[in-house]
Amino acid sequence: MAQVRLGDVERMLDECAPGHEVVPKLHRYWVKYRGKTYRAIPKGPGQATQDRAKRGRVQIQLSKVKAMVAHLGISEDCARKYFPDLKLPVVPRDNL
Amino acid sequence: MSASAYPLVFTYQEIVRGNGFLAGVRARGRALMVREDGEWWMYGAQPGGIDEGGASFEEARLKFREAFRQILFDIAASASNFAEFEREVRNFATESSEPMMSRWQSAVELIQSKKMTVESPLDELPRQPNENEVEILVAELNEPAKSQPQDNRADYYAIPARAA
Repeated sequence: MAQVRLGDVERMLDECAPGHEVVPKLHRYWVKYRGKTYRAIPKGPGQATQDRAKRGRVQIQLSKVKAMVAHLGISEDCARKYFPDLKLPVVPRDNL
Repeated sequence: MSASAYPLVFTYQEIVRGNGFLAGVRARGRALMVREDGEWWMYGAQPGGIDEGGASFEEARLKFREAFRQILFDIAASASNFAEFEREVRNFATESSEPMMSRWQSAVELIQSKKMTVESPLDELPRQPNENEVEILVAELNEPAKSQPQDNRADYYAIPARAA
């Protein structure tokens, strides 16, 4: 199960989702962008924090990144510049 | 790469403690259960923006259930009163993911037209009519004397396989 760091995800968001907001909650990080909210980023072993450098070490499954990209309507081409292994669409169409 | 995506409807009920209130939440939502590269992932279609995966269907759905619970707890922690909590829960529960909803609908049509069979263990889930509307009930529980055990609901999953 491929994993990436939240710090790398935030660098992608800086370019591909300008104006986004990462909100630390009790149990998760929420990412808000253009009226949509992705609520499934784990907070890691410590508390969720406003400190971007600290939270940057949190590990996230790559499948969550592609689901977030799809839900928030982020450009897939832009996201793939940071995560070349990002397989999109989020649900392959083998049986659809 | 081989992948299969199946539509699910689910119903969860939760009691949530908030800042000065106790709330009951019952939500019926829609999700895609995807088997991909040896893993199972449950992606929320409505609500969207929530997903969890695991080595098995059971692990994925249990993690998704826990994520759903934690989101309600996060909303409760930020809400200063019941009205705010109710508004935010409704925002969460009705927010859809357009890509997931599109694929959910396609998968429902494939099952209804018998062009796709449902694999184990999902084939053991009950089938039910494809009801389009998502249900969300949020109630302040300030009259415990009116509580009835028949109002309790266990987690429920079904395949939306018949026309409503």
